[in-house]
Amino acid sequence: MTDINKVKYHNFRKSKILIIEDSQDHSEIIKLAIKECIPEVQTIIVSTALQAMMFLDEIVSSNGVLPKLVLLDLYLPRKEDGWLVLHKIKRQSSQLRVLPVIILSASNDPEDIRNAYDLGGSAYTIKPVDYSSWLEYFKSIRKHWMETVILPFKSE
Amino acid sequence: MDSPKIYIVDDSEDYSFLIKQIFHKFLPEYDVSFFAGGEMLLRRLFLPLNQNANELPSLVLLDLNMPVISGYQTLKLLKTPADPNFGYLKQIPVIIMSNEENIEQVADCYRAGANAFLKKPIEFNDLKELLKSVCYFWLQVNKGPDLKRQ
Repeated sequence: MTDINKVKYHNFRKSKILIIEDSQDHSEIIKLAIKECIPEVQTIIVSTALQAMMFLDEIVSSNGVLPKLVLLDLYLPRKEDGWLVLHKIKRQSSQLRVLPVIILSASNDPEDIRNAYDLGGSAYTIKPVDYSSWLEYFKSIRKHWMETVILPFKSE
Repeated sequence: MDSPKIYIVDDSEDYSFLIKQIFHKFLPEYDVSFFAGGEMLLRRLFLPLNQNANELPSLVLLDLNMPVISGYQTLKLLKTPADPNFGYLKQIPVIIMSNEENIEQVADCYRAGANAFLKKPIEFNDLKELLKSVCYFWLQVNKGPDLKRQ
């Protein structure tokens, strides 16, 4: 297998993407856009910090397969909720620490951006405003995070 | 507005030269600096001389297999700096580049705080495509931390 195909094999095999998003409208758009751009993955959407933690904790305790990628909205509805999720995933003792977490937020506040990196967020992206921009966004996520980056994987 | 600065840390002169060529020809809008080892990078970030006192990179590409101070050790020193005065350095996006894709290594690097992990392509075109993809996502789509030396 060529290098690129090996990357794709591991990244796409049985993959799930976890979306943590409290807005119903945004969730719908995200589901559609991912279906168009990254149809191979299973999309799981939760709408609160608590749901996110329960979902992830359940996987860890049952020794299941973690999502390949987490897209996290900061304001759930308050940014403290977002920080809580990020902190719980990324703290030193956490078995979830290995997960790449990409912030997907409407906030352009430099303080929010710095804080996200400080807490261990992998990347910070601004929510697109119209559907074609959402498509562009998920095409770039596919291109870079699914087809180029080596995501952490479990041996089969 | 200054060009975004990318720091490339790799002990291979040949590979660094290849990367330099690609940026020069295909990605000239970026300001790329090369460091032959982790210790040079750490010195630049922790002990800046006057002429680069205010400069911080927007992105670091860090080779994993290096003598003296390994990529992994360098990563840990950047992402968990012992001195809290340098805490802001952990916000700089750091991408690990490796010749292998060893499960444990990949997981260890993400756990140590790597923002992403890439396999180093050998083919010129693959490397060109990789660097274009890296620059596009990390410096156009992604919002980096707005850091100033503190």
